[in-house]
Amino acid sequence: MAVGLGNGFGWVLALFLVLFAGVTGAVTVRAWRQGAHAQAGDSGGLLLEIVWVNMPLVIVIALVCCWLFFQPEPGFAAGAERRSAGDHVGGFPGSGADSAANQSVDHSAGRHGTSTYGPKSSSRP
Amino acid sequence: MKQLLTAMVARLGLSIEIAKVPLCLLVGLSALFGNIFAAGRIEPHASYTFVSVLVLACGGASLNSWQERVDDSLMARTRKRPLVQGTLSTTHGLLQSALLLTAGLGGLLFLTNSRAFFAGVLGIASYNLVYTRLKTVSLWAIFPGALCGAIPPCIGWLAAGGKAFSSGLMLVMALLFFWQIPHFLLILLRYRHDYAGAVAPTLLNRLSERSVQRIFLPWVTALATTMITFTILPTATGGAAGMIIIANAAILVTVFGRQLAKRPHPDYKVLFHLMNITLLLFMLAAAAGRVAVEV
Repeated sequence: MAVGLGNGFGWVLALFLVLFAGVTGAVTVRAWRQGAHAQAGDSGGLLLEIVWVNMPLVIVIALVCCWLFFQPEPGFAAGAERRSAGDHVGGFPGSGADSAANQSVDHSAGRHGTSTYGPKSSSRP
Repeated sequence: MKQLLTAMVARLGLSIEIAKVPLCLLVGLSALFGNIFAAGRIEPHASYTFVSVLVLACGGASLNSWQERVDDSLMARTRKRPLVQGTLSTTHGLLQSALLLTAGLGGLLFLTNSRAFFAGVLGIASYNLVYTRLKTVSLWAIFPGALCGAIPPCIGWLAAGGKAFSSGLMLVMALLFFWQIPHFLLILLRYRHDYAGAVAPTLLNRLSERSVQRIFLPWVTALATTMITFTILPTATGGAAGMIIIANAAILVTVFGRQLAKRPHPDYKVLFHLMNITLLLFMLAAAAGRVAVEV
């Protein structure tokens, strides 16, 4: 997904990522210190706590790696992606051109189909 | 006649109770959020999706009430539920869930599209067949449970015509996933004395209350970070909506940090409501910002 790290809020995200990593590290250390003397006979409990504390960081890293590796598209609805990409030529909401561009909406049937990927007739469930 | 009417109203109230309507409203709203976020504007299918998912969630919750009627009798929090007390028959519970599930799935199939329908089937199967059964045997059941909670916005996304394997959907699902875990842990801590007598294994069987409190902070910070990721999408939120999202996330982390770090016994009820309000405010700001960008 193309992201605008320099669009003004990118630094806030960077700050929160640092905070997130810092919080995870600090909580892990605290759990280790308190668990080491409080639960001397229960290393399983300490391990369980550390796994739970670090799991969100692992999930975030996995998601970022997945994003970097596969580079998936944003995947917004077809009409929305066209508008977001700046393709506004006669395509503002409500105009005929926009309705034509947004082929995923089957107005005649009153339903929203998957015809982004093919002709309308083949998209009906 | 008046007595009959009173009895019908009372029965309706009990039916609403086993359907867990307030919780299902939040589920429906998360589907609505996924729908508007994918479409970039509010279209008729948004209301169809909201109603269908709300009805479907009520069906799943009714079935869950029926499935757990024996276990519910072991906890003070749940032992007054209609199916446990016998004020509603088990047949009523089962019929109600079948009716609502059929209506919800039918709504998705006929008013939205087949992909949203299959996501609905997956959501119900993973909630009622996997999570509900797994949680009585494993404390790790919370993870499939959190994945179930991430499916409603996915239904909304697909109903709007959004692509299935996309980073936008991944982000929306990650948000709900990261919200579910601390939400569940708060319920666990708020009713910790009650859970001591429950059959389901929980983290409190293995860890102290203080240890479970420590687990919150990384999860809540992950949730806040995921929220802020929405502000940097070029096709998503910006301006005032972005600032609301950032302030919302900052307040969430600050209040949790202060409550959990300073107090030996935090007010779990306040934190629980804060979690719900934060999610609602985020969805409102993100959806409004998204629509504003598209317009």
